Amino acid sequence: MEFDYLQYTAPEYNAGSALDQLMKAYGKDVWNFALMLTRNRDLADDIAQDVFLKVYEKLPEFRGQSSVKTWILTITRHAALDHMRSSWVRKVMLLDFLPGGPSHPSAEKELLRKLQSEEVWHAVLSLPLKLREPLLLVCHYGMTMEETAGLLGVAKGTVKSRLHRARAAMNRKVSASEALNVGGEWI
Amino acid sequence: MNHWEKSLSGSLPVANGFTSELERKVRERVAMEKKKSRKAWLRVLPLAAAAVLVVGLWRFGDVRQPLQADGIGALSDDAFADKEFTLKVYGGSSMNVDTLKRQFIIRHPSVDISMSGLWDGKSRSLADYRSALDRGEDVLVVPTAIYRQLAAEGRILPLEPYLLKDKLDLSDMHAPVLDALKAVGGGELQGLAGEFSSRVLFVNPDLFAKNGVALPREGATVQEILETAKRFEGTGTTGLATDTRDNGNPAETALKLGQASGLQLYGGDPMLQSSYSALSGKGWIKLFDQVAAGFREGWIAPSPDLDFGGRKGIPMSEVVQNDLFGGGKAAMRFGDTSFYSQLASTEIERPSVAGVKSEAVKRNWKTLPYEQNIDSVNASDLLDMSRIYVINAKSVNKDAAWELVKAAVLMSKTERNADNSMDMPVFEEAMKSQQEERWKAFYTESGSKKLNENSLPVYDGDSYLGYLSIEYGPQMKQWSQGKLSSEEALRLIENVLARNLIALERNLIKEGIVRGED
Repeated sequence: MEFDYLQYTAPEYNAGSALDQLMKAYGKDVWNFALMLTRNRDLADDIAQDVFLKVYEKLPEFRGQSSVKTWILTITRHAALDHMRSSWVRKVMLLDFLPGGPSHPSAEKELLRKLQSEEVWHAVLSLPLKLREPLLLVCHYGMTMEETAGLLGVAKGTVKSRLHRARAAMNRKVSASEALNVGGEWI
Repeated sequence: MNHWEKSLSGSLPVANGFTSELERKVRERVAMEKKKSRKAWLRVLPLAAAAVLVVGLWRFGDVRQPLQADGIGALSDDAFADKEFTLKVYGGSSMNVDTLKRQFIIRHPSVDISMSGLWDGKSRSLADYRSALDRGEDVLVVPTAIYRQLAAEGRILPLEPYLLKDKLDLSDMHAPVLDALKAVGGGELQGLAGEFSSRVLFVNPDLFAKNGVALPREGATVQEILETAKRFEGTGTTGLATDTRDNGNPAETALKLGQASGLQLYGGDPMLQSSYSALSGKGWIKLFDQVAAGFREGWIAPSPDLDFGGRKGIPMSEVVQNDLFGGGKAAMRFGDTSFYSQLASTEIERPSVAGVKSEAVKRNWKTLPYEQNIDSVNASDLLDMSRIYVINAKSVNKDAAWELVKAAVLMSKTERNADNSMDMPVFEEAMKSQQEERWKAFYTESGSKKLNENSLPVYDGDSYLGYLSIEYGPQMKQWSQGKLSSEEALRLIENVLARNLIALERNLIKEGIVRGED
């Protein structure tokens, strides 16, 4: 579902109902993207709220420079990066991924275990952010190279090269995992 | 498509957290924000009423007549001809803003420009710029790190709609600058710059020819340049002069070369500015060993300290002459746009000023781009914009502010001579009257094209160099003299880096850039 930004500048434009429509259409994408960037469910909740608040504020200024989806995912990315820059988050995230960290099972760890049970998603989660982002945008969100480049604010060539590295890393990780689970089914 | 790609195109194996409860929370927050802004409006209501009264008197009374449509403004297609107002500009240097003011007022004579916060030798904090926005300054002139932060806070205007509206074509602008402005603006162009600075390799072809050494190729790696410098050992010519002088810190050269060759100062994910350093790697030790050998064997050397000899100042020609490269004693030197300006401007014959004659220094030199593998945190040395023009999102004169920003950028199309090239203009055409082999390197791909959002400064990331000189200056000298091993020197630097990160983080928290411990 794609929105035409012009409908928001029409005289009958109603910010509240536009927000509802956008949350219905893109809420899940925003939350998923935030989760895959931060690897933290609570943060994904906070980020999704911040994103739609920002969308509400900025909607009158949006002039269709990109598709609505790209615009919203761009805001999501900025919000996620802002949250990740927080020192508190940094510590929490590092602890989560330290082998032999706290042994108390938490909702966070449960979630990660679920994700990790799906080897492919686990492999994606373990990629560095720089490679994870283009891979998700292209392979999961179905964006073009141009859209991805615009969203990440880098050149198309940079996206291509990061994607190439991401694919190579994924192939390595998946092959290694397959070797350990001979005959196992993936899907 | 691989089987894993197929699986990736499907749903995530977790229940989606964007529930109706979350939607409700968003609506609640929107309602709260609306309430807040209504209250703010009530607070300013008496002022607004007074303003309406004054404007009414102005429009309909005999207090003041607006400029007639057939006045000077209309002749020059002035969109603001029928209005009189003051555009407030904060930041920048008086030299640039004065010129800009003149350019703007010629086109829009009814608009006055007030300037504040001009460069006075003191650095401004993020808080200063935030206050300027709160005060309602229309245009701010900010460095890259501040631009990054104000863009992230949504306090400055995205400029793409204005570019589209005016059909302003920036395709001839130096692409890495435009890319970097977008990247640092969070994927959106929220500011424009007329100039940039970056680093290139300065070479003296005469000294290469004299010593039978081949010039490095364009886009040479740091390693290739060091190997070329070593070929000058024992010739009486220094292979590579450092940016620092005798009293400077010799390790600075090795640290900058390491970063340019792709070695990281900090480990981990640069997006998170991971707070541990990565200086214990073999790459760093090898490079430090190589540079220390260069210092000992004399093929790398710092320039002598400046000798003021009781004078209050020194002519620029003497400063340049005192530099090993500028004085024709070193075959190569890394340098930025300001070093270009020093070399180029001192070749011009000038009359004496206050009895001091600045002799013209003629020499043969050119610049080459070198490979800068700068996938690292804070590469502001390699591309930086010290004056980015942004518009306050709350400006009441947005259109006029945009005209000013546009004028600031287009001004850099004006032809430059060596005297006003402190930073490079973003439009290459402005450099055409100068010798191309001297400036082309600043615009070539291997010079600065690889910069991305992670490479540009988050904050004053170079501050560790100051701490390093203060705390371990003598030890770094010992390292360059072979009295301290590279491993030991790197351990000391690592120590300073770790503490610098803590100080940096404190500053970031103080400025509200990151949250502290909750």
